[in-house]
Amino acid sequence: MSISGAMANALTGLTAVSRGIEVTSSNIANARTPGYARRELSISTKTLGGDGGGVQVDGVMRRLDKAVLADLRLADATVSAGATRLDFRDRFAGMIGQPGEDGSISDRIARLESALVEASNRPDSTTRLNAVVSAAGDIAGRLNQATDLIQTARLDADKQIATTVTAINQDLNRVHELNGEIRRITTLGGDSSSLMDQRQQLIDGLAEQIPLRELSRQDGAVALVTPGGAVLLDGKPKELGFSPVGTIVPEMTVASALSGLTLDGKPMPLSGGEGKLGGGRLGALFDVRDSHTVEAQGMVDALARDLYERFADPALDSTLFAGESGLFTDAGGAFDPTGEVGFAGRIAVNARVDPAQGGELWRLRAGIDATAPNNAGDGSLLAGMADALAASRSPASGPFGPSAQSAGSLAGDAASIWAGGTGALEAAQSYATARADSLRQMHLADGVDTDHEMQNLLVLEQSYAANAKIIATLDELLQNLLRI
Amino acid sequence: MTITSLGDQSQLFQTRRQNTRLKSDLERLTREMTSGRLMTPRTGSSGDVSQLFAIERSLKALAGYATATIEAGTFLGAVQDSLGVLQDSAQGAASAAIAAGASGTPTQLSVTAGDARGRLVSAIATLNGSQAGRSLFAGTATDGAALAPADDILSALETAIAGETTADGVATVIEDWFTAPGGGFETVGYRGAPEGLGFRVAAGETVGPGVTAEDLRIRATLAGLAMAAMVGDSTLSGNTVEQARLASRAGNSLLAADAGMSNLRAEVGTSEAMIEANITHQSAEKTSLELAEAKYAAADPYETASKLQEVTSQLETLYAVTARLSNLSLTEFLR
Repeated sequence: MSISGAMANALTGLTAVSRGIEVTSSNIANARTPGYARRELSISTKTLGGDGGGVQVDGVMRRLDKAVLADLRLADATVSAGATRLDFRDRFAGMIGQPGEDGSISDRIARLESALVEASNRPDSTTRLNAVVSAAGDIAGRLNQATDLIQTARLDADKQIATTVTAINQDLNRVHELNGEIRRITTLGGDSSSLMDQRQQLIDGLAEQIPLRELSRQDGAVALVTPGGAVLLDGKPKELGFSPVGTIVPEMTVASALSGLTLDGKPMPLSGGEGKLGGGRLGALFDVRDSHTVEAQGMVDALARDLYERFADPALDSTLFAGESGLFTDAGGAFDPTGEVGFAGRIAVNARVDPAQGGELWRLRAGIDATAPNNAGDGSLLAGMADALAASRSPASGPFGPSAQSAGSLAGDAASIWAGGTGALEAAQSYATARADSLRQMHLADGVDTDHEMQNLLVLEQSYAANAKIIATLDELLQNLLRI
Repeated sequence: MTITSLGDQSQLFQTRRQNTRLKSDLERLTREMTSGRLMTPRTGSSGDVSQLFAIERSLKALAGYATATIEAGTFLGAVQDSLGVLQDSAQGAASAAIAAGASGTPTQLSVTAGDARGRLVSAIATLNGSQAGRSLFAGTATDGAALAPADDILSALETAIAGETTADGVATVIEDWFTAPGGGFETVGYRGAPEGLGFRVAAGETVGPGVTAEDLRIRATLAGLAMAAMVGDSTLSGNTVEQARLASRAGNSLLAADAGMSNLRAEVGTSEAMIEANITHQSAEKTSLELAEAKYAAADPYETASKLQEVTSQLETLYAVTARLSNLSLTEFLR
């Protein structure tokens, strides 16, 4: 009968409105929740055998622009990777020093030269000879500190890789569990939106470490694939493997003692932070451990070797025999070119001129191997040492090129080369950050708009009142009918 | 029907991002304002800072050379003064000796001899002088005296001339003692080092080697003084004729040595002039290096101040807009 039909329609209307208010309230409550996708109620006409029968609720939809989210995840991975690399590069740049900074390597070499000149003019002055030893000690100290920083950064990166790999494995397992739950709820016809929100957040976290693409599978499940082509989760989660080292020394490389990444036992090489599993923060950590730190170490080792060789010269100090160390030593002994890696951590001032190590200051005047002091006013060796620092010679190793330079100029060159590399990375990072920011803006624009929800609420209020009025009117009609 | 809406979070994100950017600009400009240096030097797109490093190194090296040059100047000034004292003393002794030799009176001869002896002793003391703890005339052996004590030298001379009876004999012995290679002066008298003291005043530039007491011109002067002093010695006592002849010979010898002393002082003067020139040159170089450094790294105060003003007003505008927008929501109007 059409009156009961109207009643039924009105009742479906009330149900739809109640569901609508529930969705609106959920949206407003989660307006600031990260990973929450705005819910919308999907309604359509109910048909009963071809005739209209009111409104039916199809379900609650998550409104989300998947393309923007996918791009945002890739952009976030790039930004995170860049930030990891720049963090190390900036710290090492602080070690080398900037122009205008006291204590940069270039500045300390200039101080040594100045101290040698002043001492050569007053070779009898203990103060000035001490100043020479102290200036040389400052240079060796800074090179040692730089090595410490580099190796600590390597060990740190190694540890962080280990914790990240553990976290990734855990998260992949959680996503797999959520996949199962969502599939179950969807086949039963329920609302799995909140589980999907949780899963979205987990995948966002994973995507920063390793860039991911999310592929839809049946019944709301997802598969995770990297742009490089490695599958991380499809039906079953794969497992990443990595073995950390306890301590690190400069000679360890990825070829010799440091571990790489494995996926279900298969090795996945990452060079320069790129590879099947690269492009995100995890790849950048490998890049820092295996490439940037090695480059930095090579640079300071080359600087140390150049300094050592300038002074370990029998033509400069006639008391030395060939191959013996001069003002600087390799941990107290002579330097062997095959052991150049890590030399910057071992370079030290020769104990024979350092009073704190039992040496004599007059050996700066008379020669490292001298047995007795020479004339107190003889500054020729000291002047020769100042000349040796300022002399142009081609560096024997390092990224400096073959042109002959003075010791200070080599240090300035090192700073420039490093700054050039960092500058390129910074430019790329600022582009990546700008892109990620605009993508994030687009993604957030899809989120909950409180004004929109309030407008919906006003409409729903009206709708509820109208439906209720219909029911009241129908009730009156029926009453009229029954009173006859 | 799809109704488009704009999420709340997107506006919040945008204002927060702009706020961070403006605040970091503010911090950077404040630091540049107070320190007077740019945070990142003007190096163009390559980031090549090696020029700036080179300028700083040159400035440090110049500071070291500046100290060295000033010290060298002081030292040479003291050397020049001592040589002046020596020359004046010798000139006085010369005129007294010639006068005594001409007159030939025993009193005058003995007075002149005593005076010359005194001048020889003070000449030796002058040559043993030091400046700032360094001997002036001992060459590189700056920690000891240049000459043996005056008494030792005098007694060595007396031993050497014992037995001579003529003025010429005495004079020759004394001359040989002072000036002959391997003679008494070189073995007993001079205690310093053979190399003179040089000064490094610029990269690769050395002023020196300096004067030592072994210089023949100084030795000739000392020989003349010694001859005049030995007039009163026991070997020729009583022989007034020979004494007078010795006194004349001493006077002539001192006059001849005077030309050499002037020459020596001119040489020291040349070194002093080189040092003066270096001092001027160094200060000019320092000024031009500092100007070059400023071009790379100095922050123009006017420019920085106006940028700071701009950023401050932008930040204030952002705050005003944020406050207004936070009030603009339908919920407010439905209350």
